Amino acid sequence: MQFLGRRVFYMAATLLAISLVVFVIISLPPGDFVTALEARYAVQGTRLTPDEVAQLRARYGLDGNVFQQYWHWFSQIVLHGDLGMSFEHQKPVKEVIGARLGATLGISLITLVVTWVLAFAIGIYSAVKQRSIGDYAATTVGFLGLATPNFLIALIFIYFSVSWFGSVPSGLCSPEWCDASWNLGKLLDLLGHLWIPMIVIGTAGVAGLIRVIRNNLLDELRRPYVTAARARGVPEGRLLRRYPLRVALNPFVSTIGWVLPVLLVGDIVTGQILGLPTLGPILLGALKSQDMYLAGSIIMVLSLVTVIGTLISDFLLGWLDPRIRLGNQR
Amino acid sequence: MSEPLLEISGLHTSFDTYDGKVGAVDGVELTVEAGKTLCVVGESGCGKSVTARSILRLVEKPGSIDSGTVTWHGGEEPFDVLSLDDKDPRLQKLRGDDIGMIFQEPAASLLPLRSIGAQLIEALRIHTGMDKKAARARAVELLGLVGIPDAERRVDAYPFQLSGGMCQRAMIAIALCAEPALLIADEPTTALDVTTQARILDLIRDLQARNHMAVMFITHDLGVVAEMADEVAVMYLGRVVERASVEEVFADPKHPYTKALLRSVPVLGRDRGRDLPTIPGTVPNPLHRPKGCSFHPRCTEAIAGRCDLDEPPEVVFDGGRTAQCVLYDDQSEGDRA
Repeated sequence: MQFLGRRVFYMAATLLAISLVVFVIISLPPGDFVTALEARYAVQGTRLTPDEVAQLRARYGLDGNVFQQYWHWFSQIVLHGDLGMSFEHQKPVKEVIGARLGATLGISLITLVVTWVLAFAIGIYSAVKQRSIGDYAATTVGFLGLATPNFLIALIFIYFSVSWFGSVPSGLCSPEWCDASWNLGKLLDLLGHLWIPMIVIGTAGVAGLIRVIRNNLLDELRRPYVTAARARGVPEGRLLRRYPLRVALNPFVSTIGWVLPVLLVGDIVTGQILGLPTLGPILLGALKSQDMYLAGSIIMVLSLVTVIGTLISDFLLGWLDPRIRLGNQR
Repeated sequence: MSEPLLEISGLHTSFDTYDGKVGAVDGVELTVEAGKTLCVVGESGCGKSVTARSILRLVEKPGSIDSGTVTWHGGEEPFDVLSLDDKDPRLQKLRGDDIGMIFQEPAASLLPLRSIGAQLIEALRIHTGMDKKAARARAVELLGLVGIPDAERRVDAYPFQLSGGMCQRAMIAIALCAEPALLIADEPTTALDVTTQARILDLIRDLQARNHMAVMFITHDLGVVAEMADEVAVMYLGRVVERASVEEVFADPKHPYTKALLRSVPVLGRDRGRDLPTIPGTVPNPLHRPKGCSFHPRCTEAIAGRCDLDEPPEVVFDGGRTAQCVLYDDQSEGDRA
């Protein structure tokens, strides 16, 4: 319990630090949302008077320096759970994010599970059958997957789907199902769309994890305890599961924390290309138009997910590995 | 003479390296007799450990056992371990049930993530088919037997919470859980400090007398040999160059390598103020094994024109002791005549 309390405290401190840094960095580029608005009006041929500009600034809370703005934003979050207004969407940030958070987390989690299952199976096979044809194939495909940027894979998908089917696979649902309520038909339609972003976002993750698992397991398979367990007659299948695999699991578990944000970042570009209703494209737009409360809030949500992921992996590690659990009692 | 328990004959084990095939074990002949202790002694890299691992077929890739036989006489009928199928139940039984094995690094030979009790109970259940409760009770009993104090509590300890000596005791408990007829000890005390070493040796001797078990003890320490052995096999570069009883080896070594090894042991008092005799040169790379007798470049008694050309003969003396050396060639002829 003490462990839990300490971790939660660290977590809060980390989030506080992240929020400050994020806000300052978002505010760094010259100008603010009103500047961007001015420019947009200028393109349309309307000029804003300095009075109007000052008025707008006051309305959006953009008068005052960065730290006053930060305090305004942060205190609202902590005191009222209010993430502020999105300038661009003219809606509370909560609504803008809320509508898309579900799709983002959904795609990320499903991709994560599929990534793990695949990487785990292929990684173990590769290590146990080292230097077999299957191992070489998995390693080669893994290298390619790791080296190919997500957006390129997405573009390749679009290219082939246009040239073969004449349509672009975009969004998460077909037009006729999008507004329908949930039923089997919509679910099947969703699954039919989901596999493309899953492959696009997950390929690099699978490739990376295969390498992690394979190398860890290869290291562990050479340890004396494997020979010793074999010498005392532990059957091979049980030996692999109970001995080297358990040790090789550790680095795998510690990736839980950072795999999620990697997937979410992958979603920024991929979501843009594939037109997904996720947070990625919104974040990009918010950064471009200096819609700083929206951008800051999205990044805070991502940070929260990351920190929680790290906390989960810490707990799992402590549960799996007595050296971590009992380390300070030695 | 007592009956043989394990006979190794013509064993060749090699490792595939980038430089070529390295013969780590090159035609080893050994016999372990029931209830007796055989010490296999030699320098690092002479193939002692690989020989021991070959018996239970524990040689890992890139190593492979190329030829030879390992005959186990402990079962109802003798069989050759090396010709068994991987899934043969006799191989499963041999590992841990007929033969127990302990290793050089006790802490690394136990999985750090599971308690010593869990690993001992697992072995007990594999070999005796006990249920969980009985196995746990037996585990506590065994840990007490190998001298782990407060075994009731220590059974749940993890290897990293125990000292090296305690880990080796736990390993011994695991190795002996099915009361094997043979214990293979692969330098079990090398990683331990001297007082712990003495206690572990005492423990092995006690348990041997208690269970009437044979021990194959691999070491490079001649002091350990003098303390433990009934029979001694001296290995050099993958071969057994001399085999004899422990008294014969220390009183009357035959092979020049054995003589040199004995000369290089410091004796308290005698060696004060003078250099310790050493064997000139180093063990040759087994990739480039010298022609003839592999020891001849370092041998003070080598005969030019013989030792550097011909493989030395295996000479059998009265009483059954052997040496691979041309020096005794005539004697062997004489014996036979």
